[in-house]
Amino acid sequence: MLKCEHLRKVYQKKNVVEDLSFSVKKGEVFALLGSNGAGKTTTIKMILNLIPKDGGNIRREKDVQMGYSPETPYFHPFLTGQEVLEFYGGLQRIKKEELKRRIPELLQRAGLSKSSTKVKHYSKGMLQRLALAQALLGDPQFLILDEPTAGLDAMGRLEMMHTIQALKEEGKTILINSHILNDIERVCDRGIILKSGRLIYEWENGESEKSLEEIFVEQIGGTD
Amino acid sequence: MMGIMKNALRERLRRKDIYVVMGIGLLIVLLCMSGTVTLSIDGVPVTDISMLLPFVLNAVSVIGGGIAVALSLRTIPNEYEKKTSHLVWMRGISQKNYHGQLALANVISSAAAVFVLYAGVMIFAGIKGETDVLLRSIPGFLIFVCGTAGVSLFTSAMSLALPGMAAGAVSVAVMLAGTMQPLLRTLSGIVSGVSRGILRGILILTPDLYAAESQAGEFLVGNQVDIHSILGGMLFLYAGAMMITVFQKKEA
Repeated sequence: MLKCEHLRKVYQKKNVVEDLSFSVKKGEVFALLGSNGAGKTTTIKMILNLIPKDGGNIRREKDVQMGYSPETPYFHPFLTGQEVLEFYGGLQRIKKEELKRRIPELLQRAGLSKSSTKVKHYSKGMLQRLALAQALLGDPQFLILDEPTAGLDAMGRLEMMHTIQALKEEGKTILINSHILNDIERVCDRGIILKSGRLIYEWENGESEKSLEEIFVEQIGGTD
Repeated sequence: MMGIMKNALRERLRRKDIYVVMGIGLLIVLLCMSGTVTLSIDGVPVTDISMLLPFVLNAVSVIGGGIAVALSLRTIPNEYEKKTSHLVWMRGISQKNYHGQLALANVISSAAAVFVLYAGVMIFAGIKGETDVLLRSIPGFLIFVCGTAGVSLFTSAMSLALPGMAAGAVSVAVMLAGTMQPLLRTLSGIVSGVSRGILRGILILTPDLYAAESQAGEFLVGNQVDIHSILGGMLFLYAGAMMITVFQKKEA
């Protein structure tokens, strides 16, 4: 579904991502792990063409549609959840009839069915769910979720994980960037750990007897 | 396809500070035109509408230009700071389309703000029974608003090319120099040496926004208009629009 080869990104003469290669297979949930500043978000931005890469290749399966849920979603506060989805659906050139059918489904899935509530009254969790709903417009095969549980309370995290699990069961390919290792271990099949922009560990769920947290601490604390 | 523009426009129109400035501006216009504030040239009071109009329109132009800069300066940078741009770029919307729609929202909101100030002229003409002026006021506004629209587009373009403060300073400087061209021309004739060179340089480098605006005044009182001055204003509009398409962001 996605293949990154020798990716490189330089900011102010510093290598933020260096010689990074990995691939995401169709139907799997793949994790990008690492501490703050490890290069995870930069990698996602390069995949989404939001920033130019300074080296390497990104190959996507032909005509694959992508959905993206950002870490700190901002939506115009005067819009309702439904209007936000209509706006982004319009940008995506989804037909009106299709949007009419799809939006109530997505709002219900996100638990945001009360369509008259404006975004300015949304909690952090509701914003995250709305961000996921806009990512699902157009029914993309490949989803990129940047910190989907950031700032959510325990219940919110649980609900988000259930949603991701359901998407996985529907056959979606998902790339997740998250700090919360318990969440990753619960839903992800594989992943990589980055440190200072470099790949330092390739993880596969169930492969090791150690928990992901133990592996993470070992890798991040032990290599420099 | 104009959803970006509509949302940006709604966001602009929610700024309460602009309404305060517009209210104060409208009050100034009405006071000037009603005679409560007396304008005079060489000690002779100016009361005739045809004599009042150039002064009042220049005041509207300067206040409106300031509002246009304030409304247009942050729209595009805010989109990038809030990362709204991420969800737009990843949907394959080109920068020209994205920035163009945001700049158009700036132009429309600036023109609406200037229209509120300009309405002072219309109100006064209505009260004074100047039916001819009143009838010409709408097409006259289209001539008049060229300069404000140009200032708005120029500010939007500068906000793409320069950091916030620098973009604001350049935009305000161009707006003031453009709307005060007659004053600068007079000054450049009075002073000498380096000051004269600087003033002449400013006159060459900045668009003559006063020219188009003054033609609106001529049109309102039924005088013949100089089409070249109006075309000059439109050229500035065109240049602003071109700059929007040329200045591109490297990163969303």
